[in-house]
Amino acid sequence: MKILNQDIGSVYIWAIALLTLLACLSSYALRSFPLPLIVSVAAAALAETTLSGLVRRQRTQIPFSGIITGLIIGSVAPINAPLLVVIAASLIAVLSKFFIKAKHSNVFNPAAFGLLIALSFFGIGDEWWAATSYNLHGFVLSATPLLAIAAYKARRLAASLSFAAVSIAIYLVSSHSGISSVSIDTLLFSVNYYFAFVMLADPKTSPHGRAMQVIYGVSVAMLYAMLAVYAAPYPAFIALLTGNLLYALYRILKRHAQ
Amino acid sequence: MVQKKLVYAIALTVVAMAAAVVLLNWHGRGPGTAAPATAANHGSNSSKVLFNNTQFASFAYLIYPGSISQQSKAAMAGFGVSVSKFANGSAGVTLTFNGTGGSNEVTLSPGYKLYFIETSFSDDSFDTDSSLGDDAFVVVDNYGYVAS
Repeated sequence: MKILNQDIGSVYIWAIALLTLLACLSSYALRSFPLPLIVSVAAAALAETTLSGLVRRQRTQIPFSGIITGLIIGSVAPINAPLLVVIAASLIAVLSKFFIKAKHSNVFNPAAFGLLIALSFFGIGDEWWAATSYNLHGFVLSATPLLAIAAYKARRLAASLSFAAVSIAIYLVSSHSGISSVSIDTLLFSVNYYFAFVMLADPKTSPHGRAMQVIYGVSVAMLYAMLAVYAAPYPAFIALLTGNLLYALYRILKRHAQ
Repeated sequence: MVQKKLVYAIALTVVAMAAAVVLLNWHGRGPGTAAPATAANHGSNSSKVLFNNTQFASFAYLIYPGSISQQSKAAMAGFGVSVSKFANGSAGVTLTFNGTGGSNEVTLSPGYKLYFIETSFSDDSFDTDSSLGDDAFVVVDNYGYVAS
């Protein structure tokens, strides 16, 4: 079965469906209309369609990748972010996808790249509002672990899970708590699943092999933690983009060695 | 043909998202529709809002009174809290943001509660808070109304 020429099991369809579902659930809970999200999706989709025609001379296609980039940008930037910020982030993201490349593949995760530049320029924080957590009678709940399906479809679950495992380990160490004294829900939600299962699992900017994925996930988690502890701004984006860059360098060096 | 599909796809995405949000916000749960208090026996509070009727209730973690739960500690990642009790039964609670050292002090009358509001734990990784935009605190009086 196909949806818009994509197989129903396609990573694009799953990612779009899950990201949209999370955005709808969170905007309902927050009672706020996510206009910046809709604008960022439209801007990224339009930019990708235009650049595909101009740069790659490709026939017009449905910009699935641009839609996902827009969904991530609109979900991570504040729900009430100025429209100019999300439009700028979307355009920078798509431009990086077309012009910062190594071995025919983009180097940086487009959404992280666009968000880092646009949010830091406008002095706005990353809020991850679509990754809402609810306090249900004293128990923390969130739908974000559902995004594991997207990471599984992208065949990057090993990277995501190793990131999550290291995050939990660092949480236990940094909070000076043993497993027995930490509640399961807080332990589980000490992980930024939106980051782990969507941004880190971007198939174009992360390793394919399982062992490399584990190294990648562990490295990004440790760098993320180090940056966060030293109060560096935007630790998630800087850690991911550093991981992307190192992986691109590895690919280039491996190619030269062959 | 492909262009038509593209237009359909973009339109469908935007419409589906808008429709989903609008439908989900149905039943009077639209933006800013926190229900005002109507309890007749709280005449003096008629202009106040019952905390449980606000959108913040699902994201609230109790800081005071009582001991701070693991969930509250996780929600307050990046913040420190100190409590001083006064002779008249009230309490002073100071919340300090570790990143800047900036602090807020709240004085709570007896029976009042202080909640920390955290909508997403995703910006709180590694016991830090990368964005304060989704954080707030709310004081609730002894009848359950938002005091500040």
